[in-house]
Amino acid sequence: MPSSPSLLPTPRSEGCTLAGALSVAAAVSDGLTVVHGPAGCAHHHVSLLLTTLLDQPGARMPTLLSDDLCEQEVIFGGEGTLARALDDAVSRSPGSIAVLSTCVAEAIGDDCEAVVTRVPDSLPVVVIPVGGFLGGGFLEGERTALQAYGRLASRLPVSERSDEPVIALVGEKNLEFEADTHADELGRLLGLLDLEVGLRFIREAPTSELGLLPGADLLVLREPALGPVADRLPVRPGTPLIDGFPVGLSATIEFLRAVGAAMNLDADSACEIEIAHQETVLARFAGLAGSRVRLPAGAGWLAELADALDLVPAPDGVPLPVPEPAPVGTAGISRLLSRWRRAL
Amino acid sequence: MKQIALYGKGGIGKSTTSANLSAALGESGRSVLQVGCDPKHDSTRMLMHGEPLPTVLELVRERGATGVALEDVVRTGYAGVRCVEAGGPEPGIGCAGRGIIATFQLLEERGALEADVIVYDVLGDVVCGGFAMPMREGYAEEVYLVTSGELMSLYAANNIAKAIARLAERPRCRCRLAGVILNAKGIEREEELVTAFATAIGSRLVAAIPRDRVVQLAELHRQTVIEYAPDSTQAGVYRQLADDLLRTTDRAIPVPLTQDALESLAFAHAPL
Repeated sequence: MPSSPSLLPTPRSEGCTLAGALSVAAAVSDGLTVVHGPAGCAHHHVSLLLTTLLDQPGARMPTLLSDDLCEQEVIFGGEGTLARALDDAVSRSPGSIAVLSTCVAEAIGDDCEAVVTRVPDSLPVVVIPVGGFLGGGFLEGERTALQAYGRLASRLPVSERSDEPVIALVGEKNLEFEADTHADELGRLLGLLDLEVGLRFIREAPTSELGLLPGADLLVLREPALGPVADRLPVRPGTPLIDGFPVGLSATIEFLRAVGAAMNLDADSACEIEIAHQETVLARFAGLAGSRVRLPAGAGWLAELADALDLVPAPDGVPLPVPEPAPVGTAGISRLLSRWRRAL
Repeated sequence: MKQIALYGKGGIGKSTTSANLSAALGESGRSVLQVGCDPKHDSTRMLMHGEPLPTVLELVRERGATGVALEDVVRTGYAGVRCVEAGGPEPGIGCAGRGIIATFQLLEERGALEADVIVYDVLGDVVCGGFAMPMREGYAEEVYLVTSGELMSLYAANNIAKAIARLAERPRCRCRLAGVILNAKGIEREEELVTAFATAIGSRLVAAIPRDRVVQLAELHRQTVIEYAPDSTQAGVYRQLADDLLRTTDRAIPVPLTQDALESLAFAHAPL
């Protein structure tokens, strides 16, 4: 039984599981999310989405319904209320429906899986159980949602696909300000190998596109922490996997080599182009050479970057900002160096 | 005002004991309110001559809490005993414990919890926060454990003793254990065992209600024993219990037994 033995402050990644799950479900572009719980749970997370998405150009506000569980539903069970909310959801003709449970719904034992059987078979529906009191946090909610959509993807009709291989980005951080920028950078890197992103699982993907997942030729996880999710995704046995977006100079080159190896492509030419590109970027910041700087310990990619720029790590150096999550690819390095230049 | 709660394992005879206790108290001229706190809502059935009461939660569900008036849920039964049933959700869904909390809040708001004696009949198999609420919030000041000599019944009684001991640590909690009532199943050395159990947890046996066919006959006639067979020995036992409960000032914080100690006690008093 999960329990919380201490009142230690929790990192941001350990927030509410519902928020993590919602960050995935709300990113299905034609999807509708039903939050099975008190209205406050939905309201709180709509506020979170609003404030986050306002920073993202062209962001779409997701469609969210709360079935507004109150004391009566807690006492008598909330399955009837969920059923009515589902009828409302169906009448809005979404591409798919996600039902997210909450602490209250899980505590009183409502059976969401049983209730969603009322949804017509033609309308894909996914149940994501996210009682926060059961343990885990934002990341756990994100993982649970990705796994649930993975199961859904295996039930969807096989999507029409071109002859191009499908490279799937898995688990993009949808609340991250630079989520699309990172995806664009991966697209640029893949383009060096004449490849492209075939599926963003899940970011602004319509339901029908999720059906591409089982046939994916390569999975690129946003971060290694999503490894347990990848193990459960319904892909063909032996589907190659890269366990994180590239962070750092050499990691970006290694990413190209890993993609090349996974797709049976010669990556030498792409690597040469990218190395030359990195040298060009570094040259733009050559004026930073010799600066005494202070960087967080333990990140090899930062030490590598400092070395490439001839920065001088010193305890009394200027503290340099390093965003979390770390910037992706060479474009990320370029943006980071612009910030460093301002700091120096 | 005296507030008494009878807790015990399901099927042990809490409702029968409570109803006869209320009937005896009512006959003695006291105003009595009996509140059934069990989702199966049959605590007051004998007092009401089998007439099913609309439960508080049933009406709350139909009309919402604001649509429920006191006269809708409080009915007067035998000997002027006012009767209320909390009710609860259908089996297998929802949270009955929260239902108990909601019922008490509603009764309190409507001013229903007024009488010389209030008898709460509470399911004791589950001592979650909801079912412990009558103890926690000071409604049940004197708790009686109803048990037989069967191990599972003693186990449930010991669990309730744990809840009382835990709640008694809270400064504002006035709930205490007032005694143990044996509702006999006719097991050999049963009274000896339950007396030993009561002593072991720091309490006392306040009554030993013998097994008597008149109880079943009274139930078949939808009456309490007090009404059906007023001159019977069994009716006398219930009246004696009512007198004892009115007079008692014993209120203890119990010392619940460990599982091993409980089993050892039962073994030591097993039929020879």
